[in-house]
Amino acid sequence: MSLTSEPLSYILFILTICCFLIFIWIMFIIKNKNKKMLYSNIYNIGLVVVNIFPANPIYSFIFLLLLICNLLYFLFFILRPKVIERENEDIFIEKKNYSLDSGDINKIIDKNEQELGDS
Amino acid sequence: MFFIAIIPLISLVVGAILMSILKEIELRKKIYLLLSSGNLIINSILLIINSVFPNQEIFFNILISHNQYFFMEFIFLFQFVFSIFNKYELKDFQNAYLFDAISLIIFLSLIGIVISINFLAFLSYFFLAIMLIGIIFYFGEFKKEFSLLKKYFIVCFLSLVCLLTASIFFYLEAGTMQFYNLGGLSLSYTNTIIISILIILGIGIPCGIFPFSIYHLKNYFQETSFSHLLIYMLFNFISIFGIIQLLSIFNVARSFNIIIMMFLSSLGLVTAIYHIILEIFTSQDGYTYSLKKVMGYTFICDFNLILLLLSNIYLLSTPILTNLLHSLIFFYVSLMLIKLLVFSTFIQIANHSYEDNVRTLGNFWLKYKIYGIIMFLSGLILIFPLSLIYLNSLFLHYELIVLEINSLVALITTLTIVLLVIYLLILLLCISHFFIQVYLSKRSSYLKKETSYNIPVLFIYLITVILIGFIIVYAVIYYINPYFFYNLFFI
Repeated sequence: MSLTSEPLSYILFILTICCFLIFIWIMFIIKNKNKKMLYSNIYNIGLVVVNIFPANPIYSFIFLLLLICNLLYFLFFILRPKVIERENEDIFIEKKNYSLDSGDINKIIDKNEQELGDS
Repeated sequence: MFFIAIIPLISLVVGAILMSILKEIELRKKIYLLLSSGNLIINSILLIINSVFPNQEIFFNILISHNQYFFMEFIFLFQFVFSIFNKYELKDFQNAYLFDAISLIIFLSLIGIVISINFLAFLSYFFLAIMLIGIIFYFGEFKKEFSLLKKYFIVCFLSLVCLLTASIFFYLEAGTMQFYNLGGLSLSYTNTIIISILIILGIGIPCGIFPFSIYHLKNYFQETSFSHLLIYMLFNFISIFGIIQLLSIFNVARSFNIIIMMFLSSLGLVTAIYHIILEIFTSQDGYTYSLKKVMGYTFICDFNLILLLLSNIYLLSTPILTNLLHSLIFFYVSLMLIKLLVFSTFIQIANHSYEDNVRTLGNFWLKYKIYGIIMFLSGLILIFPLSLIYLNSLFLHYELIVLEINSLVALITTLTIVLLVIYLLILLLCISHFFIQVYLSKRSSYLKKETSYNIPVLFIYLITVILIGFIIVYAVIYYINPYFFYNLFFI
């Protein structure tokens, strides 16, 4: 079987589908969000590599669908809850507090100057 | 031989897995820097070997030849600069290891865009790149609201729909998804128009073509870090490559397509220029003298400008068309190198402050003269060799265009040249404004970071030497080999 043959493409296609099912199963098992992110990321790497092989448009299309599913899952089910979670933590500074308009910047400059004066 | 050709790609995959595993920040950043510099060196060697002994490697959906090495060289150059920014700009933050891994996947998918010869594989890599560029926006030292990039993700899906529809039309007509070696396949008039407009919209919308222009990217540029912006800049550059390559496959020189391209790109360019001026000189309605936003808008301008010039060139007949395409591609490649050089000088700003308001930044000249000198130098290079060479090539053909072609084409060409000159002036204004405000201005009132790194000067010298070296080499090639840049886009 040559490296660019259709059967190899088919085998890889079946393997990817199996990996995707395993991926979904693992995702259900894992509760830790960081690990979920890691798995999703490694799956992305896998898809980038495997995407080279499909010799048939149908396989390519299914790879594309898998990629879209994974990215949407990553975006809406892992990243979004994580961002909302971070909103409740105090240690994170909202960037908007000091960089959006010149009025805010002036306040911060005044505050800095005051602190410098105090010291 | 094929496995030697893909060594840089394998190293990126291995690097992405390594980054996902390694948790110690210093070690990770060192490996990242080593990986990027190693890739740059290996790819340079492969490029030189392939230039001397031309060889094409086709493997399923990818093609690696001299042209692909050329663009991969650019990607690795950007990756090298990115690794320096990543090391010194971003401190440790939650899930920083994933940020590093995702950034490597973005570089990998951008390489995928360059090397793929299958429409769906191209689409997959393109979609992965735009989505991951959006996703990494949320990774950083600051909390960012999820809704900030709502428009951006909507645009990503619009782009996906356009490209997917284009691929279906292409498959129905050609019976294949491979766009390499089509053997003189000619598509029907209607299909050519539909496919090329869908490609222009699909690739153009995330890069800032007219219907959305800056609106979906405004928040991205405002709240992002310099490292993110660098990746977006590279993505914009590679998208231009993708759009020119795909359009060259279909015979797009139809008047309807050209008018659409011209209309969308000129409006996109004018809108972006308008916002650059407002951003530099005003502070009302969300305009904040933001350095990142201005740089981001200039990337949008680049994309629209190249599309405008391209559509104008497609109006002309063959000998002029080939010559002007050759000089346009040389101009674009060199412009990107110059902008990368300007961008590299921002590393000290990124190292010392989270602030990007140019009015509050200042007094950098005292400690960081060399960065200021390089910024000044890049402005000079933009004026003297670059603009001069390109405008010279345009005006050399301008007389022929005016004499030989009907007055409407001559008028459009004149207007395009006027827009080009305006954009170059705006770009020079931006660089000189940044130079004066950041380096020469004595008044500074920015918030300093609690800790900042001592960045070795060697890095900026290295980047400057490499980039200016590349520009000189390309200028020499431009004059010696008349169709080198033209041939890059025709596989």
